Amino acid sequence: MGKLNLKIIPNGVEDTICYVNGSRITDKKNKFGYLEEIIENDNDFNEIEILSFREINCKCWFFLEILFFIISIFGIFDVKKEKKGKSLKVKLKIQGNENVDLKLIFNPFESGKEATRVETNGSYQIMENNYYIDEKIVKKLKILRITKIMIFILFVVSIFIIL
Amino acid sequence: MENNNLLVVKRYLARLGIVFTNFAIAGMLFLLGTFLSNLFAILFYVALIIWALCFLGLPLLDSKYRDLWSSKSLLVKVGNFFSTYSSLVAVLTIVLIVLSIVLMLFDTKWKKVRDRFKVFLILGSIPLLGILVLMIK
Repeated sequence: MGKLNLKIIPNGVEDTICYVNGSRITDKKNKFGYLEEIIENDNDFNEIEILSFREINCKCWFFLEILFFIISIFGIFDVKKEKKGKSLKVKLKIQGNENVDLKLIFNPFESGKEATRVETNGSYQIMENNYYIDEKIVKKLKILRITKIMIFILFVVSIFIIL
Repeated sequence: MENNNLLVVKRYLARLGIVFTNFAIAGMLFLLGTFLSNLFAILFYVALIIWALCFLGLPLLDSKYRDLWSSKSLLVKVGNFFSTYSSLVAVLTIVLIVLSIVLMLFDTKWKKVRDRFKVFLILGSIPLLGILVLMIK
């Protein structure tokens, strides 16, 4: 049975999910802020996939985002989220059914450039490894920004009318 | 790959938790600020009353304190000044009280706790200094 010691060093990159052979690994980081997982299987290879994951991609994104905007009093008490649509996609295949150490270190964001640096004692094959700007998210964020401004203006106007 | 809907729900719930935590922290800070500023307001009034009693009330009420006004010390000169201009002191006292009430009301609703703290510290230090001078004497 082969063992894969996977270590992911995010370097401040957030909102990602990692799949190993199709199943998601834990989000819990160790005390150094790294993701660590030991994967055991009988395959000759392990397939690792890291994707950006944003809540805004869900079906009810508009309703939920506006709800949070109102609940958190115009976003004052809300979590600060990344607003430029920065995304990444990493897909690689690690060969060998013995003990393999794999370290994935995230690079600083630069659109079109390499997302992670791979350090391993095994042989590997990179299918995808790049940062990009997700236009779909950018569009959604734009719609949200306009709606939020409109809600704020409506609120101010209604306050003036009431008073 | 697993269904991501569950993950979305988890993320939104975590976000909701953070929002409520932020609310709680802000609420606690507000309460603490209100408590501190009210405490300072009370201290200020107490100090003001003591100050007024020492400089104005006691010499008028008790004859043994009247010598305080007739001696030549700096404190007595100050005392004499206040006794001569007692109406001015009374007006000043009323102005200070009104000002502190206005500031208190104004501050509670609109200004930051820090500013309010500073104002009461400055206003409260005036009568406190008076008391300190009396104590040294």
